[in-house]
Amino acid sequence: MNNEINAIELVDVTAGYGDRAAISSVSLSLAPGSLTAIFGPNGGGKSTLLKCIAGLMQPWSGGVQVLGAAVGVHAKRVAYVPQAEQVDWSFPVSVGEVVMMGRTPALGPLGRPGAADHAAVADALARVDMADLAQRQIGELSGGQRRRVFLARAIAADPEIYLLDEPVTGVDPTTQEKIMNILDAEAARGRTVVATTHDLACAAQRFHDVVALAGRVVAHGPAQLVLDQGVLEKTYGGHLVPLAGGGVVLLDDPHHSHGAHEGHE
Amino acid sequence: MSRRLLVTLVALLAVSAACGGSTGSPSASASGYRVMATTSVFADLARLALGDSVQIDSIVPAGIDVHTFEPSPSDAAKIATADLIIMNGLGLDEWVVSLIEAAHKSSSDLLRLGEGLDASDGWIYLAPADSGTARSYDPHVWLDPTGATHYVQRIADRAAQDRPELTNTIRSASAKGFAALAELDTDVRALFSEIPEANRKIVTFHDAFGYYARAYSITIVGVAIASPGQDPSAREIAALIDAIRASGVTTVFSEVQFPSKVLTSIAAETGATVLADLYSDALGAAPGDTYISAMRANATAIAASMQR
Amino acid sequence: MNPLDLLLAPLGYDFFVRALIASALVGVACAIVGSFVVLKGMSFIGDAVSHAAFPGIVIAYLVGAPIILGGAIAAIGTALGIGAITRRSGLRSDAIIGVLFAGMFALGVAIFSSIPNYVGDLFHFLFGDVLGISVGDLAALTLLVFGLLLVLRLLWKELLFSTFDPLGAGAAGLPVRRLDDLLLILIAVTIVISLQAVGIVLVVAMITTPAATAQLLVKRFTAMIQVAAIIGVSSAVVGLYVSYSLDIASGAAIVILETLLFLIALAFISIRSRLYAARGAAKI
Repeated sequence: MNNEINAIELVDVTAGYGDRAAISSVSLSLAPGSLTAIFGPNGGGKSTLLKCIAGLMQPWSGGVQVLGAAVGVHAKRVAYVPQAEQVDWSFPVSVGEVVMMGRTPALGPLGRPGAADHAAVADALARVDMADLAQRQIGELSGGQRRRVFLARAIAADPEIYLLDEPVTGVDPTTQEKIMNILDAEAARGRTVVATTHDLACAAQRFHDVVALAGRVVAHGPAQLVLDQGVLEKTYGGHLVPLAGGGVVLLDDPHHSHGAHEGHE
Repeated sequence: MSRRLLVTLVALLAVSAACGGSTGSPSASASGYRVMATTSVFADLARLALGDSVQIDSIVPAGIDVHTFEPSPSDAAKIATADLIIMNGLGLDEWVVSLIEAAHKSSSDLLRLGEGLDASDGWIYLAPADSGTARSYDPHVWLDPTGATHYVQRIADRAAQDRPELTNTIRSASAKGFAALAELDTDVRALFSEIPEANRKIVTFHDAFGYYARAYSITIVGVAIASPGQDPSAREIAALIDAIRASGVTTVFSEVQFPSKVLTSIAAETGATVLADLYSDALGAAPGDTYISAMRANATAIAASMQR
Repeated sequence: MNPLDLLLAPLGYDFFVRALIASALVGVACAIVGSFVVLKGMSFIGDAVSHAAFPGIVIAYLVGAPIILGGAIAAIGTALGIGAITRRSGLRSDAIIGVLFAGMFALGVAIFSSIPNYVGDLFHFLFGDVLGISVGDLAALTLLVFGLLLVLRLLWKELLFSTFDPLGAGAAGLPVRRLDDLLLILIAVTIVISLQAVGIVLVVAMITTPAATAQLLVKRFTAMIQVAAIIGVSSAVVGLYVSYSLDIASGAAIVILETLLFLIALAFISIRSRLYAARGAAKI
């Protein structure tokens, strides 16, 4: 019996879109301070799982507990970083304004940003090395810079849980390094970090734990599991192509998504 | 308590029966001759011409503007059984022509009361306030009792022509009608003669009273809307306000078939009072339920406003 | 007549001053709400809601109730209905919105044609009656516009976050669905209070055009709203003067001005980008 409350607890969760379940009977416990990567094929339910934890989707059955309470109770202590494709980059807001949005839960309904909030925004921007870009409109940023802005928004919220959907997918190695350093540091401070990813190398090297998800939880354990052929076969099935000299190649195009509903226009 | 309720119910029924559907003389036609008029005014003039032995009805319901009236298919049905259809013409009620076609009547069943009057009748047309073409005339001929007399004459002549056997009935009815109209004209003239001409100024809702004003030497300071259905522009409203202020008119007259919002705002700005309901294109409830009584009511109201 | 006279003469009439204030208020309210509408791609919904208000207005006309009440019920009901349908289908089903919009409008036409009416009233519903605004109307309009702006000010950061990133906002605990519905209600209310000034047919232009122009010119949402509001007010004021001088319908004059400003802004930024490109090429 665990003495400490798990940061995230899923019990037998099934959820999906329309009449198609994206995840079935998923049970998962994530402890505070964990740094977990969720990997698996497209359509395997990674984003769905994240959204259930974030409270953006209602499971069809099963229960989700976040920080010891039902989803939504502690929403202010959870920060969600959406996939880059789902953001409207032409929206006329600056880097600074986006990061300030992260302070919304702290400000409450009628609150206006004060000194503490501006300081939090400045700190967050400094940590992602974008302090000098605060006035830039987000559409003018590079791909890597865009990821960092959203990470800064999460940091500014000072959450206990970070949920990140594909934070390092399609990002240059320098940016990937920066992002992972920050996530590492947050986990070390006792925050819970959960990210979905297609990048198995990154998952193996930079995360502490992994969850293999293919509609169901195939495996949950230390990051080395990513390299286990048995796990890979059970997770990716037909997407694996064996090579002549042993080993396999994984064919999994991150831009080919089965989840047509996962976008928001 | 229950008797009063019963009386009230009966009264309500009677009122609703009188108000519903077409207006005009409901008596079953002893002669079998049926006349359909476009508006209640012309229906009443037909009654003055023909008396009560002829069935007379009208199409435009109470409270609706004749200029912009849109007939419905059931109105065509009403026409189908009429022997004579009377309209004003001069652009007032051209919509009835499409009903004639829809009801498969011929244009010979149609009598245009206001058209074709000329010098030999002793009549001169006026142009309307915003006349576009030279050929259009102000259609409100009937508001001058002399014009109404021509209408009555024409209706009487046409009915006698259609039904020669009714000639005597028609002659005696229209004789009374002419006498009543002559008496009306005399009385109204007398009423206005007590008011110095300089004070004879009015503001009405639409330019219906051109002939009336000419007959009694009244100045129309302005009208709220130049053509029914169209709003006055900002400059037209400003011009009317200026005219009212310059003329010292203290009353503006609304008409029952038009919403009076613009008039209310003009009156508020000039300090004038809005008086309701001059009878122009239609009759209404008593005292405006016949042409003669409506004209008397108009004259009384207008004369009173001039003396304020 | 010197220019100052042209400016001052109409102000001598109370009805014109009221019309000016009303048009300016409507211009501001529409431009500000329109900024959200344009960013969320909801202009079609704006048009649908304004047309859907028509049967509500006609029924109010029929029973003698305040027009604005009937219009508001129909408009808000339709707006929330569209919101619910959009969420349920997951996509912006413009076909369903188109069907609702046309059907509601046809219902209004059918009822209007079946009751005794005055065609001038129909003109007012479709194109506005700003010259007939009474003191009472203006007071109500002022209150409603200030109420609207107050709500927007109070919930500004929530609306911004939820408009920009509904997923992030929802995860942070913001009631995104309720905020969406609130925005729909604000749009519906803005439309209904603007109907008296510009009417059903043109109100969508008052909502969309100034905000679209502002979006061309500035890159910040707060600046966009301010520019849109300035365009809205100035078009309304100048438009009313133009309608006075040229004797044309005021709603149309305002919308034509707003459209001209949009075209000018479009020309301006395309010239500017060509200049930048030429300058860039010259440096090489």
